[in-house]
Amino acid sequence: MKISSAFLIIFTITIFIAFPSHVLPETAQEAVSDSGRSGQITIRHSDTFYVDNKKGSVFFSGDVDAVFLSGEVKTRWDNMTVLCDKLEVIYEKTGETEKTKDVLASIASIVNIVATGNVRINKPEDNEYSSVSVTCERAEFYQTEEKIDLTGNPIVKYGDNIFKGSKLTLELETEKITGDDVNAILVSGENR
Amino acid sequence: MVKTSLKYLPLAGIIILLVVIGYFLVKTGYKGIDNAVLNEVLPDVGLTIKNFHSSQDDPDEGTRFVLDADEGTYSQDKQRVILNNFILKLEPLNSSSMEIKGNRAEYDTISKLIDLSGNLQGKSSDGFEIFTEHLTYIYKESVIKTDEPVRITGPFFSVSGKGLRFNAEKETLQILSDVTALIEKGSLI
Repeated sequence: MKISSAFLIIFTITIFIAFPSHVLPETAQEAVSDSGRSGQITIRHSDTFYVDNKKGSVFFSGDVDAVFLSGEVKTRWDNMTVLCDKLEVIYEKTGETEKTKDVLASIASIVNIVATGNVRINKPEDNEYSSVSVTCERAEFYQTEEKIDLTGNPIVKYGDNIFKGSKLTLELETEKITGDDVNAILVSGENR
Repeated sequence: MVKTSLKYLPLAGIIILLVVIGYFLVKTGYKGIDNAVLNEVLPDVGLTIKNFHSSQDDPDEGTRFVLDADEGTYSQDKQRVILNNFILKLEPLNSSSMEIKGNRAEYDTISKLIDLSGNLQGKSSDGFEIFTEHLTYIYKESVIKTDEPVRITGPFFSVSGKGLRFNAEKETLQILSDVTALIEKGSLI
């Protein structure tokens, strides 16, 4: 028994010497693995990414596939998908700083988010709410006002109701649709 | 018979250990210590300096930078230096600074091209971080670039992709393909 234990110890030491562990650097994909946190935008795909820190703009271009309010925010708009040609995030540095990993970093706040080019917004039907789908050429998302401005031939389908106009505004909190030259086809089939 | 086999187990373990050690010695080309070692030195390897330090500060040429390393080995013609455990600090005149650490750097003292590799981590003074395995710094253009996978974190986002172009003077950064990202604080409600 003692001899076999000694052999096992020597063998184990040999294995650790012969095959040293190699700590692989964190891969580029590991950073975006958790979309379960609330209130975030997950970019599932984009051809390119560009940031101009002096101007305060971030651009995702080329077949952009995004999920807004990913995770369990517990709102009507959880996991709303946005497809477009280009997504721009405009931010401003607040002037405050915080220490992150030994770096004093400028805190930035998002001013607004603009999706352009063949914009399609979808929120599937769930147990509580009917589906919403939007097509337009341009959608501007305003954080503080909690609204989305839609221009460029916007069409909003709210369940079985259809709204068209030269400009539509989707108010997220109140679920109102307002706009200019609005033409609505409601469930009863009555045109307004 | 079994008892006899067990008796030789420790010896077998020691032999295995010696074989492994011998394998690695052969692999690294150990040649022993004698005067002939000097003849084995590669002809283009020259002076080795501990605590290497170099800086470039000509605004007409490019962004000011400071390059430090634990050790730097010059080539015979002193044109190139290979550095271990380096820190490269980029200090543009009117933009945020950037500090990049890594395992290895190859510095061409004539062209001012610096090739960086090995567990690279870059941090800017305003909160951007870059993680990748390989970068090239082109001094005259104030550009850092790579075609390798890269991860960037910013004040409110984390982005992964392939290929990077970073302009230190203009503070612009581009990831060239296969982008995925997470934007925090993006709640609309």
